[in-house]
Amino acid sequence: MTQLTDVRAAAPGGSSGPPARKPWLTQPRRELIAGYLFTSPQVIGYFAVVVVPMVALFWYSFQEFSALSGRSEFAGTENYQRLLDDPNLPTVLRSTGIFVIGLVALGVPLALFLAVLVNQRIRGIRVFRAIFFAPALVSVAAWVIVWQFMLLPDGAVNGLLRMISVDGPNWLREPVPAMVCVIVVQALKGVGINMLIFLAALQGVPKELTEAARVDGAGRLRTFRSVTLPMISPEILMVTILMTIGSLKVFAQVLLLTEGGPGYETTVLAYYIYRQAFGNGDFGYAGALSVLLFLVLVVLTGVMWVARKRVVFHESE
Amino acid sequence: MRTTRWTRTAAAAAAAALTLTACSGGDDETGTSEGPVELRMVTWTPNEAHLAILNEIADEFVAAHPDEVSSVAIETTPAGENYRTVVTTQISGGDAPDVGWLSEVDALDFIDLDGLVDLGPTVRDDEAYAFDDLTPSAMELWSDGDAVYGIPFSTSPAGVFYNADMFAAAGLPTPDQMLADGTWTWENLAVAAKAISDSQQVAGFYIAPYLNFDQNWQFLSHVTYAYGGAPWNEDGTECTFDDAGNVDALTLLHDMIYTDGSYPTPGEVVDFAAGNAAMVDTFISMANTLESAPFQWGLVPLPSGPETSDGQTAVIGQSAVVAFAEGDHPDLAAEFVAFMTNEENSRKLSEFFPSIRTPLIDVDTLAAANPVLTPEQLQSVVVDGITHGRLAPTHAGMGDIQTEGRIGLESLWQPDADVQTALTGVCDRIGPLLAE
Repeated sequence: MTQLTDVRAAAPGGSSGPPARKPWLTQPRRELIAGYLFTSPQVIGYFAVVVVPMVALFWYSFQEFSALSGRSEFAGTENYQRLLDDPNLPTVLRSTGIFVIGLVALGVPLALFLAVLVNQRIRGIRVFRAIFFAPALVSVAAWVIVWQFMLLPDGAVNGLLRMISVDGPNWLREPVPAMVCVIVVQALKGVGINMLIFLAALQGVPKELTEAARVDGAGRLRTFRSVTLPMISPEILMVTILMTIGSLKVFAQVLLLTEGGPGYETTVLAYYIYRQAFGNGDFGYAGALSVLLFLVLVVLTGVMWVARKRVVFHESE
Repeated sequence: MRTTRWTRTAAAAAAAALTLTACSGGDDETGTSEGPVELRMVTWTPNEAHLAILNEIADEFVAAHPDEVSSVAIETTPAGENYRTVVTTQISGGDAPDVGWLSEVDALDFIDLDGLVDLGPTVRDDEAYAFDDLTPSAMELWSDGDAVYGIPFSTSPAGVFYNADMFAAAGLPTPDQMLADGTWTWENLAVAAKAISDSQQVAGFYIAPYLNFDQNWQFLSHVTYAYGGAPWNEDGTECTFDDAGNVDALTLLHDMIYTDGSYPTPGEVVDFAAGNAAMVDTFISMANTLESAPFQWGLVPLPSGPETSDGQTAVIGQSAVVAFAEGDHPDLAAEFVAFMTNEENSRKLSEFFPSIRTPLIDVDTLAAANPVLTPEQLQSVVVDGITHGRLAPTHAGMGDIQTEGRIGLESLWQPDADVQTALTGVCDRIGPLLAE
């Protein structure tokens, strides 16, 4: 503040001499610099860990890169041509699609169902909320490894099935059971956070609306379908978008549970990128695959964002 | 004003990117011209005793080259695929280590892509190094004419450990007795495995490095070599996975799994050291875990098969010390590899790792490293194994080949699989990769 007073006192107006030169470091500039300084750690971090790797990724995708010798040379569109010629890619994309659809189709309704269940004012309900939320707190590796043991041919799951005289499959070695396992294990891991989002949304639905529906003669189910669901539709859309994006990036679960097998049946795109880059040292092709994943994410997010007007209450107004 | 702001932001971004790029590069090709440098070595051993010896050798190297090397940093990364991932990421990120351990599976990939320094001029011309002491057959993978790309520091033969108590309970002759009688064959191993499995409800036999039926299918060679089978021809250009030798050998294994029930099915977990398997085919380092085993055990060479020649059934695993071509100081790295594997230091390392130097391949030296093995076991499994053993198959581009081979073999490891058809399917998958 002292400096501010000094600057004003030196300002031209009262003096009859030549106009004093305006100092470069004016108050607005000072504030601007301070603002840049305050935001610079975040901005530098963003550039270092987001922008630079993304630019590098595009650069990699046009290189023939030998990870073992550290040398690379310009390859033009060769890596993108390989996307069309790769015999495994259709299976990988199919597996990715099944995984995304399966996870969203299971995860969203399950989270909503649990949220409705725990949205009750009864004694001990917090214990149930904590139980359903607990998997979200466990590390992915620990969660998946425990499930891996339970899903072994002579593991806990088949042990339980044997108690009711059912011979369980070799869960992680057969195509359909393996994909089911990857989806279920991931859905149960993430259900707690989505349940909390839905729970908050449910508790934000004005009571007068549901009570008015009841007075008009609507049953519980009808009230839920016609009043509650439209009111929480923005959260449903948000969870769906987040889950879709998240499911396209799932990698550790596949690595630890099935290693992408059997065949390429559970090899989702993110895991395939990992295999190409770090298994085969083919960073160029992995870069092209990553660009493909990026485009898929952009398109899917765009489609869902546009579709919100149809599915989200109030958005079309 | 808006344009100015954007210009400044873009300039700041470019500066940040350039700074980061500069930081990540870090190539110092000048080597020793600017005074003593630090060398970096990567290994996969977390064992403190191993690291103590490596550090001792490194300190001696620094003391012998005070003007060139200030220190040698030894870094540990867990073994397996993760190790290769870390090393390749460091190389591709411009931060290549100077020296490192490399397993035989990765050797041809690195050699093929000029990723390793030729140690030939450093080790061949130095009389004190005694290059001719290195067993030629054990150097085959790491040499190409006069070029030398790595010096194996550990050559470990595979053998079959057996639970003598289980054989006694079943009233069967032990593998040692069968070996003495000349009847130690894969067929007789399968018969014994079934008998013990049926009577004692344990696994009869398994190949430890392939227990998970995963990428490590090259260890099936422990059986297939004895039947004259190999996954590809000698120059590695054609798939031979579906030839008669492989079909016979893998039919034997398939029958053990799905007909006899004496071999664990995919996904089953067994552990010989825990006493729930009668026999295991693995490397001799397992002996160290059996020191306090609550059962009597023995160790014999791998069984023979119809195509075993001169009674030599040994298959070996190797790890070598190499200098990475992309390291900052390739010449010093080559000297360090030579120093680490000279006769004196090889003797130190042989306390833990079987050496390929002929003066060190004797029962007395090996007994110090493997105190729980008898002189007979050391002679028949280790000495003969190192001297005559074949490496498990490896090929340039092994990462891809392993993945496609694993996927192809999935159709073999089904109860109703037709072995010939399944192996033809394996060739359909890996054949195009071999031809590349």
